[in-house]
Amino acid sequence: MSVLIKASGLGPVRLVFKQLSASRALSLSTKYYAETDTSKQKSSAEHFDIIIGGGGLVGTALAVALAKNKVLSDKRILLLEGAPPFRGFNVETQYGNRVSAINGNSVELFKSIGAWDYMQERRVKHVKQMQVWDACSDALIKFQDEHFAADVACIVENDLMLDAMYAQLADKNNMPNVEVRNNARIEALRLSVDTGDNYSQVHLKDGKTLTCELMIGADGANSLVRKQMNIDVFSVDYERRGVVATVQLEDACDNAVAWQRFLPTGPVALLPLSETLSSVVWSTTIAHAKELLDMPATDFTKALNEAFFKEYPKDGVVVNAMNTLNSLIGRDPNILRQYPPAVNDVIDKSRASFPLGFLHASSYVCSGAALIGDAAHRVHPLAGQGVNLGFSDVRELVKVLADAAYAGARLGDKHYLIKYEQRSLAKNVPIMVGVHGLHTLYSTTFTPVVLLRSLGLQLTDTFSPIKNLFMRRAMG
Amino acid sequence: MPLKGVQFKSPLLWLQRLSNKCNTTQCRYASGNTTYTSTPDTHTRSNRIASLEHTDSTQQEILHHAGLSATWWDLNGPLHGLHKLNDLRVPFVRDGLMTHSDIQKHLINTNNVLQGKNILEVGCGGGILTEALARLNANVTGVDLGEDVINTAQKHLDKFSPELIERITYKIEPIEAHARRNSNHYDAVVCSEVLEHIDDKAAFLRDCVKALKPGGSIFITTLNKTVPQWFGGIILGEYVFGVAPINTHHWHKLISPENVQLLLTALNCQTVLLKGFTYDVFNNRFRWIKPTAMCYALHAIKNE
Repeated sequence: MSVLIKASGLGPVRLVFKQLSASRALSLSTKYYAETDTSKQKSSAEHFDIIIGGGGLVGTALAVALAKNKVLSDKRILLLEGAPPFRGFNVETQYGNRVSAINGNSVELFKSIGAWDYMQERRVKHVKQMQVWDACSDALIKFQDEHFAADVACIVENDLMLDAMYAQLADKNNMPNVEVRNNARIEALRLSVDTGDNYSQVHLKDGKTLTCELMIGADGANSLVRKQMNIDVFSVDYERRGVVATVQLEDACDNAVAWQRFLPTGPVALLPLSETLSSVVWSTTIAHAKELLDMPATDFTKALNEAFFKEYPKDGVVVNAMNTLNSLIGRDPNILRQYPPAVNDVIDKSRASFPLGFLHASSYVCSGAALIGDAAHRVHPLAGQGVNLGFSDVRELVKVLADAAYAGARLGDKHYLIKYEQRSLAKNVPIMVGVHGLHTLYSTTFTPVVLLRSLGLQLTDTFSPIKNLFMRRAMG
Repeated sequence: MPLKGVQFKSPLLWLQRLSNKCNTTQCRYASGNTTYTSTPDTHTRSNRIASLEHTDSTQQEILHHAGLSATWWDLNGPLHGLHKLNDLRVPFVRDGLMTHSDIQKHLINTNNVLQGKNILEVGCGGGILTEALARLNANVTGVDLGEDVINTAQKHLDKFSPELIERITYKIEPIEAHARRNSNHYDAVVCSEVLEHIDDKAAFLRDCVKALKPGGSIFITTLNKTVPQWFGGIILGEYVFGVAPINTHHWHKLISPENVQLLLTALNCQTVLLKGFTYDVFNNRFRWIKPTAMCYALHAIKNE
């Protein structure tokens, strides 16, 4: 089936179909266990109710959220992380180069688990407006709350989020039922759905064996848990890399706007960090990304300024059509246009890059196991939605597990886990399709496409009901 | 369409018979080709009969469910509907007990919400609901007439839910005998998806209520006796959608909520909640609905 999807041009359509049939397909894979032979769990194995594989942003957030839930407070939870203990976060040091734009939904999650104040006390940048524009035309869209009352997003360093989570987890009085194990690599995983046992078994590289009722895969795009669950994925390699860097602005300013420009090679975004610093996320071709990483700092700043200010050759047809549209809707594009602050330096050693891809698991759950975050879905960073989708998974999963426990069901009960899948799919799929669509739409200079996308963007900006709909979706 | 055994009786006649039954000491009820009489003074005799041999129709029910006992805990098997029904009936019992019995504040919103509650589940079958209630820390006694289903329940408990063993007792026993030995004992009696398999509903409910403490709750979920339920629940539900195995439900054994209420009122119980629910074939789960025309859940309190 996965081969079919990849080979076919109708991929997304088939994917949707597959999602719809996922719950049925799943039911076939669940083995009837009442008559299988009892293979008693080894008495040496340590038992947990929930084991979370992967201590990244989403995995740690889940651990904290589960521990903070009253109904689940008597469950033993273990967080397994392959890396050494988190080195911590120091507000005195330089800004980290990996930052995330957090939407309202994620902020709600942080507030509910008591991590938001911790972050606020350190450094969170509130973004009041977002401007997105096209390099191949004058089309432009701005997002903001009425009178800038609410934030469009908040820019938070990934390390700070992790630090807030680990600080919560380290507080044993606060959450006695969660344990974190670092340097714990999973060697083999035997899920209860395959073995027919009561519990899933986790064999660690250090020889220890653990058992659990519910195994959560928060282990990223190459998820081991997902492979064990035998779940197909639909994935696209964009053949692009995202270059990140922390940059110094030429003049100190309020810096409350997030900027994004669609270049023919991919979008470049400037996200505010402080009055004088911003973070860059530049999606571009693999060769160009390498160049950007290797070039001297002065050249990089020059290239970055060029990316935001350079006038690209515009097609006459598009320019004419845009002028006509603007006169019809009665607006002068030049009055509305704002320009991002100029950059004059890049912070030493802050440049890095990561591969970009699209991935979606055909199912998020099976009896006794579930996937969250990048293990289930991965999107292009152009709308800053990836980690927000992960946090939305956390909220849904905790809700469903609490419901299950309070209804006397097992945590691995498939009927409840499927509810998590259904709710998450309903939230994730439209956003994923939208982001993937935007990437496809903006990775061409083909005139008719440029024309349509420019007119579309301009009209969306003018027609507030549609714009508000997008905003609500993206801002949570 | 195998509709044999379906008898259309005038609802008026039904009501009349029911009210007769409740008002006179002589309880007489005819079902199918068997008739049996039970009066309070012949208790001992009828108990002996019930424990030794069952009526043909009861025997059929036992056999029907015994045939399903091997697949009782298969989440995708023929009884998947019962597993999914836990979604509704466990919260129904839990919330009913929370509002109508004293549950200590610190237990609310925890996994131990039913701690210390003694619950009798009549017609527990393979223990799908029994285990769920016990997982909320209640002490549950499950009784059923079928030896096979109780064996299935006990095996599943030993093997897959050993942590619940001390809170669950399974018994192969008619409710009549159980109630006699445990009268005024339980905080709650649950008869979920059972009433539609019982011939003598008046006697059955009388025994259920007998086992209940004054102030205790009886929870019933069953199928309504309406044409939409006959078509949607039995014809479509059993033959098309497979919500329940074929031949599980019989029209002539269904009972409307009004009749259940009438019976319970006669037994000195006050109905406090009546809710409708149905199977949602689009989402593959049960859901609460306003009308009670399909299935219904009823909660009554035994007056002090």
